[in-house]
Amino acid sequence: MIKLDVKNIIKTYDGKEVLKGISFEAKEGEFVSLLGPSGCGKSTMLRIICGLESPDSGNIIVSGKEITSEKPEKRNIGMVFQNYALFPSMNVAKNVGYGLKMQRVPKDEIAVRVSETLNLVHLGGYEKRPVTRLSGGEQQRVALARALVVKPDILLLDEPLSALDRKIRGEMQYEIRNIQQKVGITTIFVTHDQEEALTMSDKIILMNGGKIEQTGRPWDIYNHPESNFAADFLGKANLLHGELQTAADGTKVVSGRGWKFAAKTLLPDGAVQIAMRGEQFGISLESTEQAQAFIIRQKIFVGTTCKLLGTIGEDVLEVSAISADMEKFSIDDTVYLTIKPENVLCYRED
Amino acid sequence: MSKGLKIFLKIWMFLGFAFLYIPILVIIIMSFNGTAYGMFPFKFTLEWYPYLFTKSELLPAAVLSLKFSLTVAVSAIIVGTMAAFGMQSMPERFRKGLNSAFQLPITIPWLVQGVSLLLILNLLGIGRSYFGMFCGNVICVLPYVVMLVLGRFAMADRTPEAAARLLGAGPVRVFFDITFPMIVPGVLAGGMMAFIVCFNSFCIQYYLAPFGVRTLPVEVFTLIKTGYKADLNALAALMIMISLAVILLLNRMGYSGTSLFAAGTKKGKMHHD
Repeated sequence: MIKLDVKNIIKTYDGKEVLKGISFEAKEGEFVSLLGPSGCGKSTMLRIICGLESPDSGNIIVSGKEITSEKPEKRNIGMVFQNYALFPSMNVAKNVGYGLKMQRVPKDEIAVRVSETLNLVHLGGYEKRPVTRLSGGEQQRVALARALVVKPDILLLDEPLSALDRKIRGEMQYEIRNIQQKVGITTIFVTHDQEEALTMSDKIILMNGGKIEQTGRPWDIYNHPESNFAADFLGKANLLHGELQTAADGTKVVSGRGWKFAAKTLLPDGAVQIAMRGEQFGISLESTEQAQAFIIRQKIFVGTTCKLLGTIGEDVLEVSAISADMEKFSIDDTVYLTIKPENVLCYRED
Repeated sequence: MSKGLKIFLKIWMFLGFAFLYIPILVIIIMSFNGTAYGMFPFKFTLEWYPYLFTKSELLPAAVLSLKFSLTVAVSAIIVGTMAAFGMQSMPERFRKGLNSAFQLPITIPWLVQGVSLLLILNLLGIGRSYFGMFCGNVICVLPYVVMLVLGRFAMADRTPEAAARLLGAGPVRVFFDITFPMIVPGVLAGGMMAFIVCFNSFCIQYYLAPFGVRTLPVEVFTLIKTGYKADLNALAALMIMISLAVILLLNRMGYSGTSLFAAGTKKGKMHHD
């Protein structure tokens, strides 16, 4: 069943079109990410869904009911803000219970539901604490509890993890997803972090410049990006310019400045742009027929993987290797790279 | 920084403080002096304090000034906060223009303002009256209230208001539950400024007070012309003590001078860690 239906939303600020006709839908209980670089319009989209902004045209439909011109306080949509937006003058229980108080729920019932929800976010017993004394992660959980306690139709998360440090961010990714599944609430998650979107979502909506670039499941969108923007944004890809040619046996080959890769594509011959992910290269110390010579110029240790920066022909390439193998390679060495044809993604030159 | 410079700066700082506080200290000491007109020899006495509360004309004037300034401050808080609330919701260019228009009267000398107000009040047939004096003083203190409350709005995080809306609170509810507690330090600071400025505003009160009514500044002015007793020093000493007590109380409540009048508050600021 379709819970949220967004239809052709257009929004302009000072004559600049920030949303150029956005349409998407979210099923009951689905976790949908709006992913894109800053300024792509994803936060504006979220503010339109909850009614803090109104669109120039288009419709927002929740559970089959049109709410485009409904006031925000009448929409029953929960939201967790980037900076949590807790009420500094109230303690944890008052913050979480605020929405219930607005619904005129009796006091004893508020107390019960508040402590249930605090338990859900692992903050049992925090009721009396002032929110100003909580850590970032705890404030985050309070904000989540406050949004969930009123049982909203839809939960909106506006970059809720960006203010947390790396370790807590990882925990909260897991935690939020866990709670979301337990409650079964339809969730729209805004982020500019492709890793967050890939690990948490059922569906990713990739946005760029006020338009949707691509929609799909994380696995599909990562492995079959439909544009070079998508390929580059979902995990940094090497973008190279080349010439696509069909060989006599029907196989396709892209050749550039001193390099040549076999590719699988339906594009006609001609100038193309190709995208190759660093982790999809095979690295060998010996030359084979298909392999391309790669001269290592720099090694960068990143943790479990290491990046090898170097050149193939006249172009620069970034290749990922497992850190355990790092010692095998030294700077100015020549190694040989192979890549499967289906991992050489071709796009028309634009 | 060299050691010599450090010592020099320290001495300079103490000189600054001395410049500020020695006159006040002298007043307090003189309130215990039995010799008239603050002259020597210094004879210790406590007589000026009972005198102040029994025979002195200063006390009624002081009480009048306190009541009057409080009325003006409260009125200015209400009007000023409403004005600031309206202004902050406007588009930026209107707000900036309006704000300058609001701040400009601070630069107009009170002498000029007092005379011009009297002229207008006379033209309107109101003349010297409590009402005229009240309006005049509210006009003088309003810019301070608007400035401080608006400053508070500018530095406040506005997302809690949006969060409250999404939790089902209508605009009026949001104002009283979220917005007002957020700007309370600004309102308090504005009220304090308004009170102090009004308490001191000799010019306006001199021109606009009804005949025979003397607020404290006007009374003091009259006394100084005719020669004053040390009960004025006693009153000054008491007022300093009361101000000190108020400041200490505010600090206890979690408001410091910087949190009321400047950015970076103790209350209402979230720490992210």
